[in-house]
Amino acid sequence: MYGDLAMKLVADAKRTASLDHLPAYQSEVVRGVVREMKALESEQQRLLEAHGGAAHFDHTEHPEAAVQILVQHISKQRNKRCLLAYLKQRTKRIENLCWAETLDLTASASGSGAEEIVSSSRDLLGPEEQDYARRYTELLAAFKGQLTDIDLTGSVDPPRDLYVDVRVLKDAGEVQTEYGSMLLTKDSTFFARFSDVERLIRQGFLQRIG
Amino acid sequence: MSDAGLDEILGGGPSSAEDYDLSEILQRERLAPELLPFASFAVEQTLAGLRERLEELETSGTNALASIILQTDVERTRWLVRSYMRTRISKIDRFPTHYNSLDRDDLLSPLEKQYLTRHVALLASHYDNAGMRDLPPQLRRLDDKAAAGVSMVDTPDLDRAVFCMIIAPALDLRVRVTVREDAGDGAGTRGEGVWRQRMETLHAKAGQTMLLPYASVKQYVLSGEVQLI
Repeated sequence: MYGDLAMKLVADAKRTASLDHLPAYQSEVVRGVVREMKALESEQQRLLEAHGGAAHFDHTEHPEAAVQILVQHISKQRNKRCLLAYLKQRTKRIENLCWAETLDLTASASGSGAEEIVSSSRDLLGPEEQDYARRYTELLAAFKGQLTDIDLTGSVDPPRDLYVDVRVLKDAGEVQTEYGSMLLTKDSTFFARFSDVERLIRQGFLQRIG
Repeated sequence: MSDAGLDEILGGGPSSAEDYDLSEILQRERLAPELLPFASFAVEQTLAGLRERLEELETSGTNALASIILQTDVERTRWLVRSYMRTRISKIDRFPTHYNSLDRDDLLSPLEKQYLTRHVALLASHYDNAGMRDLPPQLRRLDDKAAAGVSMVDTPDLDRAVFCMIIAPALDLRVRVTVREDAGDGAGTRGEGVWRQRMETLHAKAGQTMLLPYASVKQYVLSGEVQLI
């Protein structure tokens, strides 16, 4: 049946809605849906040509062909809708990760300088999605840069304490605080301004104590 | 330490008054189903006040309590502007094609317009990369309003119910109500009555709280005569 493959994407999207990570990008299914749309398109063209071309087609003269063309049209639109819903849902998730700054760009093992994006190790982005994440992060950075005073990607919770005690959960190298730069070594604790360390807490490098 | 009151430390002048406006503006933006016009004056004033505060902090130095209070206020203000911007971005991203097609000067700030245009282009490019590129032009459209009966362009639901408080002394609100009326002739309805919609006028007074469709109070929300709560 036309649209069966597209339903797989819809089912995946529905499942993803209740997960807290992105499952693997289904590039095979996506390609399959696009293939089906192309096939429907060329079938439809063929049928129209056989009946004198799209401009002169009269559905009352050829009702069987008309029905077929209608089904092809609706199926194409349905496939498109399912495909875009799947893609959009994932881009929304990716954008949330970009805003939360928990998207991790790590250098690839080959050292060619190409960057591979993994967020938490359970989010699985397709190559096009990685590209999208990179470009969206750039877009965000440009936006942020126009509003430096307010730290656009900072905490959405209202501020409570100015300063907090934090423990370091993993080695994170050097960071800048208002007291100067500090070396973060695992299990050390320190007292810092909340707005400086809020990001690191969100990304899982630090844990707030008390 | 001096007996400096909070007002003295914070300088209780125009910037605090604008902060208060921005707080109301933020609340209104969060509760309205559609994007409201960008409050550029309030935001500019608040940011200017913020910068003043930051400069004060650089120069003050000695009085620890005053410094703490100023810093707390700085963080509060930053959060306020941040929330406002992010609430709006979130609403813009909810209906990007729709807002992109509107041709209004007052709705989006220049920065937001730039973000929206670039974001829409980025999404289109992503869809292309994912496979849409290989399809015929008519099928590649992202603003198709007649795609087999379902419009691709979603718009905000202006009939969504919102809680309101009446601020103006008295208002006549035109509201669409749905009522059940007797079918009269009883033909084919087994005398159960039919649902009909009609416009009614509600006479509202200051202080009343109501639950109404946003569309009925929209103009009063924008004028300040009704407050969303």
